[in-house]
Amino acid sequence: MLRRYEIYPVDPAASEDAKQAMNAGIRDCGKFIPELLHSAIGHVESETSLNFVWEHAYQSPEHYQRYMAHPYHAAILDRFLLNDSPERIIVDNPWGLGLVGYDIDEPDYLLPAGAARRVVALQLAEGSQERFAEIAAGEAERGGMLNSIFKFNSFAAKWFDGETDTGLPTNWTHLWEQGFASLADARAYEPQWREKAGGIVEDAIELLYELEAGFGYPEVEFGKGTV
Amino acid sequence: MEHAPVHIVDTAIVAVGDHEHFLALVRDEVVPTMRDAGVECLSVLASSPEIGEDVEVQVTWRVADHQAWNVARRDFFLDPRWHAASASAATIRKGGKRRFLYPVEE
Repeated sequence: MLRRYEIYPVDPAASEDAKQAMNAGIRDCGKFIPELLHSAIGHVESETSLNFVWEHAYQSPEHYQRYMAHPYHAAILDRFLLNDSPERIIVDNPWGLGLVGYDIDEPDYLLPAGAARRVVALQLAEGSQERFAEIAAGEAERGGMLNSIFKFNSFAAKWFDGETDTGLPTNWTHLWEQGFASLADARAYEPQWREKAGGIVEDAIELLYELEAGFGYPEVEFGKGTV
Repeated sequence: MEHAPVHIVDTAIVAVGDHEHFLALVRDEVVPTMRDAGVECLSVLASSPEIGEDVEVQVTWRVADHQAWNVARRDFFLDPRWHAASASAATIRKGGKRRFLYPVEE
């Protein structure tokens, strides 16, 4: 499976109507593009200007390619997002954290609608993936997290078709998704990974949001992913 | 409906005082960049600047189908000229829209 994120700063000057139209258009995208799975949006708490997240997935690169060439993608999604669209309501992203994701065998990331997710985008020092994976696993075992997925950010470079490296560079080498029952639980969780990781984390951005599930989002039991 | 060929109709609203600047941007920067990405420019039309209202500038593009648009989109997205032209247009434009249209049987 391909797990994919789009992350944006929404223009603070955008009208409420435009923001609602974008939220619905993105969140419920699966109504029109059946290849798109597990669509949910989130309005982000972050120290950055990144305030909107769309999380979703595809069964395979072929499914992703059908999404990319679907009329809905061109006409509706790009209406709000693409630089040359007169109805664009996002602004330029100075964080270099826009389109990211990873490969995974099963949708272990799934959370119930209304649950909370913290996404940690990481720039790790070369060769430190295994060490950070141990740290992440330790953090997940301390209690409070429903799930924890730590992966290499393989999607940023292959955004075009889910397979081919476009050569577009990204600073964000890894992603760490943390699931919580609620925003309150996520806020109450006291992370220790920064202290444990020390110098192997060269940069990090944390994004916290509640899942606003879209069309076709599956019924999910805590800790049990289903396709 | 067969979604081919794809006609992309861009309509921009610009102030009378800005319309020549905007048309020059379209002619000199937007059209060459889009053409290099494989998008055909069918027409550039504008309403009259002499009727006491904002000028509507309509550019119609064409590609064979949505697969072709997807490839063109990748190519212009990777072209720094497209980013610069898009940013310039956004500062001039007061509003507008982009719509994807297809031939219908008569």
